[in-house]
Amino acid sequence: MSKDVAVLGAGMHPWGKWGRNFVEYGVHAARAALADAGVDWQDVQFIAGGETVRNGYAGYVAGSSIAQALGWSGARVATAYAACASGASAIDIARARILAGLCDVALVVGADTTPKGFLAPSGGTRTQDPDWLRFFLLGATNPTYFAFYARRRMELYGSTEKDWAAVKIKNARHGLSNPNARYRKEVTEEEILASAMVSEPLRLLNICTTSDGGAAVLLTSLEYARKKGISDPVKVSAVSTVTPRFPKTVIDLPDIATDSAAAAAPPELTFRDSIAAAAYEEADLGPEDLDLAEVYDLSTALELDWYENIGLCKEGEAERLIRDGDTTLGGRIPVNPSGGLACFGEAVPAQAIAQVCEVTWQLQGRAQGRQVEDANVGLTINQGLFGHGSSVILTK
Amino acid sequence: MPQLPRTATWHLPVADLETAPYWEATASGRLLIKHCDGCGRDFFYPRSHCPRCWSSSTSWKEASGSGVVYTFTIVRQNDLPPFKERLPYVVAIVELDEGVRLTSNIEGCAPEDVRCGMKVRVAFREEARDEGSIFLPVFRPA
Ligand SMILES: [Zn+2]
Repeated sequence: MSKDVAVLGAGMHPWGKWGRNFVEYGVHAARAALADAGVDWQDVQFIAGGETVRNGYAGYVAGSSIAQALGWSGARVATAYAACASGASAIDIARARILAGLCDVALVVGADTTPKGFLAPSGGTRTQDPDWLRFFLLGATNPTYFAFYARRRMELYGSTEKDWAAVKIKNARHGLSNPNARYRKEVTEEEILASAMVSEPLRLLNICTTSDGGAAVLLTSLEYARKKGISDPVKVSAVSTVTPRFPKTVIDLPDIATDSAAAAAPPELTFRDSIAAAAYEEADLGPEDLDLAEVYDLSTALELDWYENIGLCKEGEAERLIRDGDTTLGGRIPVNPSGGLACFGEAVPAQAIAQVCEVTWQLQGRAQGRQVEDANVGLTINQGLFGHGSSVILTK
Repeated sequence: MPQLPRTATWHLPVADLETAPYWEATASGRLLIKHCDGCGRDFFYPRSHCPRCWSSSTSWKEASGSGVVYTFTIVRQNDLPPFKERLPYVVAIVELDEGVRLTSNIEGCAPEDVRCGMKVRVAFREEARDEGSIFLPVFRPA
């Protein structure tokens, strides 16, 4: 039995700082995905929403908030939370229902409205929550963590500010003609190196902002797609939502401590490596099969880590890839042709779905102004707080 | 940044049965990690069960308190109190001689002088809030 499901439609609400209700963005994206698929809302049997934690109760039940706004239809519903991986979790639930034969048509949607500035801890006093403790006892903000990884790259591989600037310059160029990107402007190395230091060694232009936005995909069984006359749809061939393994010796947000690697050898693969490995295994594909990737560039330096985590090169060689232009449009393996988080800013519950929208359009040859030539296989990857893997492989 | 009630930032961790010995030890100048009597492994943060073998036979073990800076950052922007007043400050991951790593602050030297691989020793910084105080393990150049 095939483990693939079809992506019949993709839709987004442009990213920005619009200041409106997240439901509005979700509805916009959902209607765009339905129109793209030529499927009526009344025919959707299941809707999965990515939860937003910054928009009150309506956000905790995002799936039903958006379903209600689209018009109650009796569809079954679920809402998934996995921090930055929420969208992938929602996709995974929808895919599982389709593959289990419980439905043929599922809508997955995520949307967010964000406050100004870097994401602060959500409200309340939670004195036993490590995410709360790291903010309030140690002053460890989100950029602190991105800086930890960036500093390791400097130490181990001689990564420089210029390498990270090259990532930003590349992504800014990629996003220039993307109608859904928030920032569509070239940026120079001088501007990046002159931007304010936030958490050394990372400057403001190395760190992604937060944005409002919405993204949706319409997933169906392959049989349903065939009945609609679509014999070769873009397919979801793998969804990896793996958790870390013991001993976990890498500090990921919001961990403030790790297991000891002294008494037990760490697993062969780091957590981030294992996210991609599980996706490749499920799709029976490898890094050599990829034509493009959308990776989560929360920081420019982190994009380089992902090159290694998804197997585009060996550890310590990511700087060479960016310097040689391998990951630029027209290069060997374009990364973030959408412009990535550098051009979008993060809209947490929508972002992993937006990555899937981009790869879908790339595989359909519809990514105007940023099209990767002959794109047949694409991977998205991301990591959610508290141990959530998030990777989707799409094939044509 | 959303406007958080300022008081929200002024609470300390509430020690429970699992973590009380840890905080009691830091108050007397000792850093404790956990050891599993079942499988012999050290682990951190403190939990009542071993995350590897699920044994509930675990014991506290005093760490030597010495380690090295694994990675670090100099924080130059943070609007949350009380850190706004402390800028710039260093947040680091320290690897203890026992192998566990923890996130902490580096004090007692200029932020610019911190290096990866630098030898450090634990010290204890009192964090006082309205309801009392705790002693937080921080690190200084050894
Ligand atoms: Zn054990």
